[in-house]
Amino acid sequence: MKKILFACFLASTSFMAQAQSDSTDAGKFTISGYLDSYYLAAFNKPKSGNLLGTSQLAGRAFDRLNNQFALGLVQAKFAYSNSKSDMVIDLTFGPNADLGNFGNTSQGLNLWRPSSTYVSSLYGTSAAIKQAYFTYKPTSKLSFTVGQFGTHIGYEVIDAPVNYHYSLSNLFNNGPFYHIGLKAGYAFSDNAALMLGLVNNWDNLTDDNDQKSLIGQFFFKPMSTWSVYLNYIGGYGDDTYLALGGGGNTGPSANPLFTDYTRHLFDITTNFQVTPKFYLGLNAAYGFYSFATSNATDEGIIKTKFNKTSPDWGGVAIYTNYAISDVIGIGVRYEHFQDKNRVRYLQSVNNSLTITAPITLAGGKLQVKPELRMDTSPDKYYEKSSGQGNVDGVTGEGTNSQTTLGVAFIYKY
Amino acid sequence: MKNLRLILFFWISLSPLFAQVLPVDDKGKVAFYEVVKVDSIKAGTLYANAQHWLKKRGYTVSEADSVEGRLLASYEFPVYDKGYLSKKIHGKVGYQLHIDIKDNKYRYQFNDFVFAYYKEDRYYHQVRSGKIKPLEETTASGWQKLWERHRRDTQLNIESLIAQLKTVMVVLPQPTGIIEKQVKKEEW
Repeated sequence: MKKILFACFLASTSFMAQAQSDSTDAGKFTISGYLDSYYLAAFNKPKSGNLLGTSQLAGRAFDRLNNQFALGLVQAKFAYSNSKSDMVIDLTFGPNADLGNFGNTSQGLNLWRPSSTYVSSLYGTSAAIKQAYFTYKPTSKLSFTVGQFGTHIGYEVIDAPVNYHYSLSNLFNNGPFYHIGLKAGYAFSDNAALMLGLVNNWDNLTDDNDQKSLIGQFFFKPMSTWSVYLNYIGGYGDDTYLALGGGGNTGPSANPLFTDYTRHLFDITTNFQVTPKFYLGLNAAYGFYSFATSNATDEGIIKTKFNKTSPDWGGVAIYTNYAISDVIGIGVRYEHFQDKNRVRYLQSVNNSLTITAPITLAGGKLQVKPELRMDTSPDKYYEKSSGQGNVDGVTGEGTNSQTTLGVAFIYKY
Repeated sequence: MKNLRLILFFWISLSPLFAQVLPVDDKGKVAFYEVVKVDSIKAGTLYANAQHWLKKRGYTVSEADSVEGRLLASYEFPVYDKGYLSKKIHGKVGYQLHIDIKDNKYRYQFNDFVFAYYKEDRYYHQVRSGKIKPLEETTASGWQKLWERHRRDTQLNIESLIAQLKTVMVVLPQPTGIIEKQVKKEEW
């Protein structure tokens, strides 16, 4: 009996010692997600009640409803991971999901017009797909990912629990949200990695112009608490919005001149945990279009619309936050964004200051984010109680600034 | 009323037994320390046993001095937040292990325990956030229960490792040559 007890003791000791082994890479299936809602008040009292304005271009994309309780997004994420593969099915529902997945909808935002009438109706459930991809890892350093995945461009993501601030930057709103395609990653070490891939342009479920965009990312880590991402995307005629008739171009009858271009976007994202409590981050992006013009008339048309034949846009955002305790912190984001040539959604110049003081409760599951955001523009860009501002080439009755005070509630599981 | 008093008395008097007490050194830092005496085992054997065990357990050995009989290694293990549906890595507890060896005895010291917070990055990977929390801290506002579980898991983990270390340290090397002789005996 003694021997049996001793054997049991040894076995249990050995079993417990196994707990030291890092099992994070062991195969496992997880279900997680979150839901978020918010309430905000805009002091400029936009007539439409929507910070996107009637033109859908008034600067604020996701948290956009004024003076009402609003639901943001509901996520259900299923993931499986083992040493050789990863799989993610990320389904989202709600107003922010519809907006974020706009290229997967069955409405006019998807440009692919197949001859079969049955195909377009299939897009209905696709709108719920934020991400759906799998990764195969032939070696510990090499990986291949296929499917629909969140963009590598930028600092912020659509997922409210991941971002420090609830409202999203213009760099995020005016960049790509997701891609569908194939990418390969190679990790030189834990501190450096390269990714290259081909995708169906920006935010496109289907490839409407038989042209693929090239994506790339170089990641390096100068210090254990400092990461740097250098990102790129470029392609031919890959702007869904412009092809749809953005900025006055008119949908299917759009001037083909406005779809004959190459576009490049360069982006740098870096984050640095300076001390255990103090954090710094930066995101900067510069993008431009090169329109093909064969004669002076075409050149004139492009210049009239976009100021020049290589119109550009870009911005920079600085992030900092301080963890007062595990429960409360305070963070500030300052952003300058330029879209003077009206090639992206903002179509203006914007300076934005956002102050957020997240409160983390229920063991990290509940986040309450009070937030003050002040946007200014040299144009009378923002809508006020008397009507829309100067947006989309139309002179309105706007104001130069928009200040909002709100609170977001995020619960993750 | 009498019964209630009795229950309260037992509850108050027994509660320290259930409280979590991690051993601390003279500086108040969490540390597991012991000098272990072993009979008739040379320092060289103890050193080889310790070195072999550290390698097998995946420690990162930063100092290995066979002359002085000193080994210094580090390791970190994950601790989890159970969640509602799936558990998620919440962070990693890192520590250092010193083993000093002499003839017929050795001493170990597990110390420098630090919890490193993890967070979800934009690619849904749980990554180190850069924030840390020494294991000596007994309070964690907003997540006290989870913190106590991390401390308890650490204690159980280290205690099981100590038991395992003690077992492997007394293993004597197999005499060489015996197997060779046995093979030679196997003749047709």
